[in-house]
Amino acid sequence: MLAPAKLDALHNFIETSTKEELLWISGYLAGLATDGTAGVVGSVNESALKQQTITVVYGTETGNSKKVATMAASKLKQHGIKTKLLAAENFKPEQLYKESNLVISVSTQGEGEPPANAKGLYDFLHATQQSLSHLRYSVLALGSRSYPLFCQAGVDIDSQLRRLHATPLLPIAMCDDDFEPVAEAWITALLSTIQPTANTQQETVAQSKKADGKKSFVASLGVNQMLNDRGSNKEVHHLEFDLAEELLYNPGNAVGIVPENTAENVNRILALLKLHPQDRVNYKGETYEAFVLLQKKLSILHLASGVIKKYADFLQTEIPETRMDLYDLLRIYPMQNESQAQALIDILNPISPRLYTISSSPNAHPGQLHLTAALHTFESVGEQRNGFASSFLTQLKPGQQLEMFLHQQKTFQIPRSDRHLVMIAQGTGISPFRSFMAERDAIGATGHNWLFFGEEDFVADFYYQSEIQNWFETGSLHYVNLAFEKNRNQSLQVHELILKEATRLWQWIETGAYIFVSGEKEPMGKEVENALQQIIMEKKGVNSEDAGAFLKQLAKDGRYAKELY
Amino acid sequence: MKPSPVEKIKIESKGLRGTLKESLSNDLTGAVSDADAQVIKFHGMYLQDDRDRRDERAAKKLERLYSFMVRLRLPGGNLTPEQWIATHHIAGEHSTGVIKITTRQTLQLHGIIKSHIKPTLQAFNAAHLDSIATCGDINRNVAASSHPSFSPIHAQVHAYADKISAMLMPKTRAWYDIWLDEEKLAEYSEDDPLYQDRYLPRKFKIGIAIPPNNDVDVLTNDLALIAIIENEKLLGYNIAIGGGLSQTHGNPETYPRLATVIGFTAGEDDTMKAVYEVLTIQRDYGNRSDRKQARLKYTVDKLGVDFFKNEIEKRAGIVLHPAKPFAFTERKDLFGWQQSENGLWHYTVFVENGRVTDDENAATKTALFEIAQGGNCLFRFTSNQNAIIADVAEKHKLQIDSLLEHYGVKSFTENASQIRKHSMACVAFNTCPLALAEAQRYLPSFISKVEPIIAKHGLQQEEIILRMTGCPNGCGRSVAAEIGFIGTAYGKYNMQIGGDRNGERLNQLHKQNIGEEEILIELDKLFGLYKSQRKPAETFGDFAWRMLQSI
Ligand code: SRM
Ligand SMILES: Cc1cc2nc3c(=O)[nH]c(=O)nc-3n(C[C@H](O)[C@H](O)[C@H](O)COP(=O)(O)OP(=O)(O)OC[C@H]3O[C@@H](n4cnc5c(N)ncnc54)[C@H](O)[C@@H]3O)c2cc1C
Ligand SMILES: Cc1cc2nc3c(=O)[nH]c(=O)nc-3n(C[C@H](O)[C@H](O)[C@H](O)COP(=O)(O)O)c2cc1C
Ligand code: SF4
Repeated sequence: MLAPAKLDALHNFIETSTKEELLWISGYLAGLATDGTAGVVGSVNESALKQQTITVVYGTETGNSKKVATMAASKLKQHGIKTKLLAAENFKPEQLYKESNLVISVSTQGEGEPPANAKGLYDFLHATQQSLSHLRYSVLALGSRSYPLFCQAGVDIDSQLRRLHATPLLPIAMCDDDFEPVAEAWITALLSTIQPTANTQQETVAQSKKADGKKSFVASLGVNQMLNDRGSNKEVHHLEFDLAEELLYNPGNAVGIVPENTAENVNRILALLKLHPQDRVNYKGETYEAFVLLQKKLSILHLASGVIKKYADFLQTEIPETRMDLYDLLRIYPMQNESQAQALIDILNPISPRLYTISSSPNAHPGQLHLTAALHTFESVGEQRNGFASSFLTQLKPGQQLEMFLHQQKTFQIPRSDRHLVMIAQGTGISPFRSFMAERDAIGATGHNWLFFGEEDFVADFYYQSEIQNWFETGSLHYVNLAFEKNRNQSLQVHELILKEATRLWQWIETGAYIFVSGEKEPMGKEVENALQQIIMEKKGVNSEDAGAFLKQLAKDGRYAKELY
Repeated sequence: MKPSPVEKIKIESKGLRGTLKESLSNDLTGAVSDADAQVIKFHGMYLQDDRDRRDERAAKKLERLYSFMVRLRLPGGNLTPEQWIATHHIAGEHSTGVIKITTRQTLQLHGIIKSHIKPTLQAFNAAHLDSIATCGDINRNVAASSHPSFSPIHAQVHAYADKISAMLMPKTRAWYDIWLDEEKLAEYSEDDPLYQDRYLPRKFKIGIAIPPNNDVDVLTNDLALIAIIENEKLLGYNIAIGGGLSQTHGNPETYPRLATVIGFTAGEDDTMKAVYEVLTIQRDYGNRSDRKQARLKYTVDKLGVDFFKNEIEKRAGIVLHPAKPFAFTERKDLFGWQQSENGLWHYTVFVENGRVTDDENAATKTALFEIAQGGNCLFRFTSNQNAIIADVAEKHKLQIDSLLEHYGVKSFTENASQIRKHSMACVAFNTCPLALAEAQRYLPSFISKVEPIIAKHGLQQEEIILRMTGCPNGCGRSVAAEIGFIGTAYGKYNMQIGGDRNGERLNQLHKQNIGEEEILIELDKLFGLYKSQRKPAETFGDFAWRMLQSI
């Protein structure tokens, strides 16, 4: 905590600052705290700048960073500054050497990774050695404090640019879930840096809600029911949690869950570290029992290559660039002595939370929260493995308590009840739509509903079949199209169903229907988007570019929303 | 009186088409609509679900595990080796894999998912097999004495079974239309003078027996033909009407009944005409409002035998002669190798409860498949749910014998106890929707508990007929057995005794609603009494009957 004198000074300072200034400062300080280096803000020759172009690049997964970038670009333009807006995948890294002013808005995905569309730029910045000393830049990082590696992708981009001797226009700003206020303040700051004399029309900054967007709560598991029948290749669990307190959530929201490591794995690592489970160890300024820390806080599976590299540096050994579990790392590259355990712990990252979409509805399932979680399986060095969070979650026993936080997906919320709705799901993608349907059924929504659903086996993998049948029979659900590979007259994929229904689907789109897509990004998400684009091309008689633009407009209007993972 | 709902469904079915095509393409469910579930029976299929899995599926928020059972039309129960091979593959690809021989000499496959029906029937059709009218309110599979060595006129009788089956087929092409996507034949008329658009009030069964063996249990049929043979020549048939075994617990208006012999017809023409008109009389006079009173047996009792005789003569324009004397002396399959007069060999395989599969007893399914691949035999099925590898020439006998040996079929057939070989059970759980208690899944282990009791009383050589059904419908003909168990509730049975060995007297209720423990105690007691008090050569059934009468 702050010493009283400093605290007083801070209070004084705060009292004399405007709201926008404070918001900007909060982003500034966050950046500062992460870098550890004071932001050397570049002095700007404004008149020179006015002649030049500012390039705004965004890296996004769900569109937030794009929204901010678009906002920034239009503000810059309004102030007479020549501005180019580009998606990161369209920005050729070599162009860095031609640009003079670069503004980057980028979110963080996965475990501190950049969004897929910014991966090229991100990797280039890490690889290149060529100086960028001619470049001025500013980074706005979007992220969520519910993830341990908060805004990591933005932080990495910022530090790489710095390494390459580019000059920051502003220190990095970092946004939490509630990104708009910080982003707006950052835009304002950007404008005033570039054009301190310009008449920045006072923008009304959106009322900033309580800064902390994530609400943690504890729920206790009531039911853990595997939905797949015998003979299925899948393992999807329906989990019903009882809520101790009322939780305000919307259909379309997700929850974040921090999985725990298995006792078996923790114990064998403790043995290698020669630590007793109750031994006290420190992590990020707090003291824990070793067992608890390893079980609940530390990422010990599939370590990031950065972590392994730090360990190699620490041991002063060569370890090829790779990812592996901590147990294997310690086995293959043992520590030299026990006293190094704490140093190792310092290197480790915290466990990242995973998101699961809520499959219950506030009105149909009061006091409860349901999830539909698939045990994620994949191959690793020829071995079949199970995902960390999904095995933790699907193995929970009734009665167990679980801490989670609400993740409000701004772009993926149930549409107004009188709007027509097309729901396109593959696998666990059904989960938000069970929530939508239960909600619309419970409140007697007047909008029509159309479900596309695909999985492997009609007999074994038709999640929520009896509920879907009920909605259909009672008239809440108006059309259902199903794609199953097994036990079906015809085995079609979801996108093929969509193409078959092109005519009706187009009618729905024309009458204002909302299209929601949920499930696996690859291949389903891509294929569905292509199918939609194809329908638009055909029905509107336009080329693929215009069809893409049409879809983008739909997305902008909130009528085309995706939740793909 | 108001016609039963099924009557309306039949009339509105557009030649047994109903809305089957729509039901088939309904994506949301593995079932068909309620009305179509009635219509599909006429196509030889039942909508069922796995009753073992109901609770589990409900918890998984899945509908019941619906599937279809398909029953083949095999008059007299005959199959070529090529057809057996086809059936073997179809079973593996589309059903549970078990081929079930029924109590009416045909084959059933279970567990066919809706989307597999069409491929299944198309594959059967390619093997020249169909399932038309094996279920529903219509003439069913015609049963006929199965063993060629019984009589030189065996082939002649089987030809009758075929002809009768063909004569009584419905005229609609719906089966081909729906399952084979056949184009409507423009010039083909679906007018059906026999069934019209209302079909029969209820199922109708025909059996043909060649005395002295009553292996088909001929008197349990609606219409029974008993071959009358003199000097190894077929003179004609005694005709009996009004058999049927079903009753409903707690409904005294329902009862099992053996067919009444009403006369004799000489020659094929008259016999065929008489058979045909029994159906038209039942069509016109049978009860169409109460399905529990709709079988021919109730029509016969309502109108009287004389009415039927007159009406048959009038409608057919024939004379019904007085019945000729005949005698049944047995009602069983002849296990193992038998030679018929034409020199061909026949091996009757004991298939426990008719379930052809590979299990710890024998690899029957593999054995039959490999024998079929040899192509040197025919397959026949018996009303006791067994299989006959028939018409084997001397030169192929050894090869077939060694396959039977190799796959354990021979040792199972030859070493199984008499009580096991002469017992049978209906399907019941897990597919039969009407089952109240287990039958075929339980009988084998039950028999294992009866065997020591039999041995204790030294009755191992007795060929006592014991039958079990999961409910009083009597698909395993449990009321026509020396000892019958009729399911009343899960794990509980009515114990019936006193049926005769030859199928000419039904059994009677002895103990009501008892479980295994009590049953075994009771059997021990009865076998003890039988051992000590039987008359010479008296069968258990006759003894028990005597005992029941004397109480
Ligand atoms: C497969 C078979 C039993 C077996 O283990 O072999 C059988 C199985 C069924 N019978 Fe049967 N019956 C079978 C021979 C019989 C017999 C014996 C016979 O015909 O020699 C009878 C007693 C004789 C009679 O008809 O009276 C018989 C009297 C019934 C009845 C009672 C009819 C009545 O008059 O009330 C029903 C129920 C009904 O029709 O409502 C029935 C219904 C059924 C159904 C279809 C249940 C249903 O209606 O949904 C059973 C299907 C079970 C399954 O999963 O396979 N089954 N059924 C026999 C097939 C014969 C065939 O190939 O066509
Ligand atoms: C918005 C959103 C909503 C979601 N909703 C749902 C939902 O409703 N239901 C649902 O089931 N899921 C949902 N997910 C997915 C979920 O969040 C998790 O991503 C998923 O359960 C997998 O997590 P895991 O920890 O089990 O897998 P992880 O252990 O994180 O594995 C993920 C991947 O990492 C790699 N990996 C991990 N360990 C190794 C190793 N040892 N060797 C090699 N590679 C390795 C593999 O490529 C693997 O596929 C959602 C995701 C998002 C973003
Ligand atoms: C699967 C997933 C993983 C995420 N991982 C992180 C993370 O490691 N660190 C972080 O700060 N934010 C993380 N976030 C939060 C996003 O960065 C945040 O929601 C942001 O607003 C998304 O911006 P975008 O729409 O431009 O992609 C994650 C979000 C998702 C869905
Ligand atoms: S007797 Fe009853 S339980 Fe057995 S198959 Fe027939 S209807 Fe089903």
